[in-house]
Amino acid sequence: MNTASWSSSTHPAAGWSEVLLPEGFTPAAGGYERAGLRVCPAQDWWTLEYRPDDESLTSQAGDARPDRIGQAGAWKWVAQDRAFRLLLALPASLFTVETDEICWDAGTPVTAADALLRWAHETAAGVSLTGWTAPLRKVVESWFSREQLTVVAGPLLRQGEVIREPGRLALRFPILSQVPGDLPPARLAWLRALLEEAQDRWHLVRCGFLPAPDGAGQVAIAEVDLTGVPPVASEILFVTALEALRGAVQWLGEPADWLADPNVASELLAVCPQ
Amino acid sequence: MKALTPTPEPSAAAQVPGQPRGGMLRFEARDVTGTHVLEVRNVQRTTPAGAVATALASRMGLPADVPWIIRNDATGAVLEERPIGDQIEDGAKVVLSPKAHLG
Repeated sequence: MNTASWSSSTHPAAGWSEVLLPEGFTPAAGGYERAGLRVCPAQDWWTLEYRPDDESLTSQAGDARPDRIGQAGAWKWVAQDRAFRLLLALPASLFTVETDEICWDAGTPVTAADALLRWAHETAAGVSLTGWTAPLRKVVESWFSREQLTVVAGPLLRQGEVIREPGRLALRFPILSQVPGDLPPARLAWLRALLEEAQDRWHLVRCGFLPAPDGAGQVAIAEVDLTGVPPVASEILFVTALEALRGAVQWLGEPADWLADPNVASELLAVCPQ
Repeated sequence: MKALTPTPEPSAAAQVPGQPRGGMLRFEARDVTGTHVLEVRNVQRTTPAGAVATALASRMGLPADVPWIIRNDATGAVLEERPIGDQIEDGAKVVLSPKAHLG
């Protein structure tokens, strides 16, 4: 769940300081901050929030939720405290577990935390990820079994895909392979609200609409984009992302089908959600 | 799932005849007794046939504790556990049958 809020404590836990202070972060509001990037460590997940100086990149209360579908990195807009926040949640183990793999940056060894935080900052700010190449397909395929790309739950059936290109790594599942073009606006608004709730519920998972592959209408999808992820974290994040997506797809599939079925009549659904 | 739910025909303007939308598969499925017949739409071609069989059986209200197979009505061939789009054509007719273990 993406329900973690900023701690009211003014002093972050000491153990996390050992990771973040050397990276140039300073304690702030129960977390740590560096150049618009705020980190809130917790037992299982670290929540990162990006608050750029450029106000045009932030979302104001009352705005429609911005969309990051298809963009590099796993940042997403999450509704919290009557506003939308640009958040990225990462497993805490990525920052604290020592690995045998060394990260390199311009010939200099860096810690896993530094590599992750740099990836987070670059993808939040939309910095070009030059020099990054996705893991080989056969390496990616060694991280999971093919059956994990299929979600079957009763009559629900969804087939996910791994998008692996030299400059891209993402997981994507269809929620609706065709959003009916004649769906009433109120029903479409409910569908959007459902997708947004799923995005708020599951770490890493983004949900939204994309143009249909054949150009006619649109599809609803759930995705996790790991483009640019440092090698030290790629397998753990990929496996975690796949599980998160499977949960989200199972949660979303049936109500999404129902909302998108024009034959379903409902007085409640004829009114846009508040 | 929506893909396995009988739905009315889309309007002619929304679909070119014989042209599957977005590479999705569309076929007719019935159980071996002919009691249930479904017009199946929007199945991704990469979906393993076994998963499709399981979801179809659930949609038809058939027992969940039985493994199910799909047979191509035109050829009689039992679909293997690989992408269904590699094994049947768009518009195919298939039969859902319990998987028999003959000893």
